[in-house]
Amino acid sequence: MLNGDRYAFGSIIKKTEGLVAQMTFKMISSPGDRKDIAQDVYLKAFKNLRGFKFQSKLSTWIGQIAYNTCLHYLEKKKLLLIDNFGEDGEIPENNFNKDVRNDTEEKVFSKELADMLHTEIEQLKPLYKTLISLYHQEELSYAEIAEITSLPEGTVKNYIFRARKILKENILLKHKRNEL
Amino acid sequence: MITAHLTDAEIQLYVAESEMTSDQLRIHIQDCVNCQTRAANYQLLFNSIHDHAKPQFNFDLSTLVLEQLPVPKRVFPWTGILVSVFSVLLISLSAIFFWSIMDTVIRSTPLLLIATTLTAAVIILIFQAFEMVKNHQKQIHTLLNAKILQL
Repeated sequence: MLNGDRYAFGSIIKKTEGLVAQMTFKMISSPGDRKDIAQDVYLKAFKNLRGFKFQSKLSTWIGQIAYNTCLHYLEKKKLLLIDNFGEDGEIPENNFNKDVRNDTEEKVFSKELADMLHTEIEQLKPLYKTLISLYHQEELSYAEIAEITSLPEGTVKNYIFRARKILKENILLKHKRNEL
Repeated sequence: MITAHLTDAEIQLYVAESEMTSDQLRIHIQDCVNCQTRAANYQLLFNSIHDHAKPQFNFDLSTLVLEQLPVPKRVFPWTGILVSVFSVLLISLSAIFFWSIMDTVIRSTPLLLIATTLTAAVIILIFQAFEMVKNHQKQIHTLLNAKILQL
């Protein structure tokens, strides 16, 4: 396989395309570009297969290639990877009365969550939705995500915390708007 | 005992990595309905994200990529064969030309020294072979651990 066996490489694609799909769908909005980028990821991987040093999982290595390819695309399109929430990174909370807020949260999270989730995840910035998906859906550890994104583990953790909070706040806000 | 409600980050930590939370936080959550509700909501959010449908490509990525890969050319290993033939010739010619000198050296060298040298060479070769096998097994283990290939 490391000598460039095309058919063995086919099985690598089959086993890792879920991860690549997760990253391209979350970071790239144009379906046509996703197709090109996904192909580009594996062509790059094939070309550099001899450079894989077995220091990490093969899937992590392919994830790194996918992340960097998507990142390059976003940079070319001058698209923002994350939001800026000031230096302390505090996310503004919705201005609900505390009691009303708790009551609202309970209703929203128990009934409409599944319906709203898809739309609200899609509205997050590319990096946030990628990190959330890698952690919660692909079940990667913080360390693995840090390796893929080349971000410090603490930063990954912080971004995932922020992303979840934004997601929760947005769901509550949407529910509040719907109620008015 | 913590009396103020937990921060959002603490609630998330409690839900996502309960083993990382301090006993004080756990005790507070057990006694606080407000924080319990917030934790339950986050748990629901996490479960919903986990159960959310994963994206899939609507095309056969594997076929598309394999079509674009270069077809490996089957080339006859001329270089390898030439090097091998040259090496065999060199060793044979050296043996023929220098046989008288080598014969003298071998006869004058104590048997113990020859045996020691040969044993050392064999041991080094065995160690190198072991190292190669160990390295290969490590690589296979990495791939299997990654659940990437069913070897």
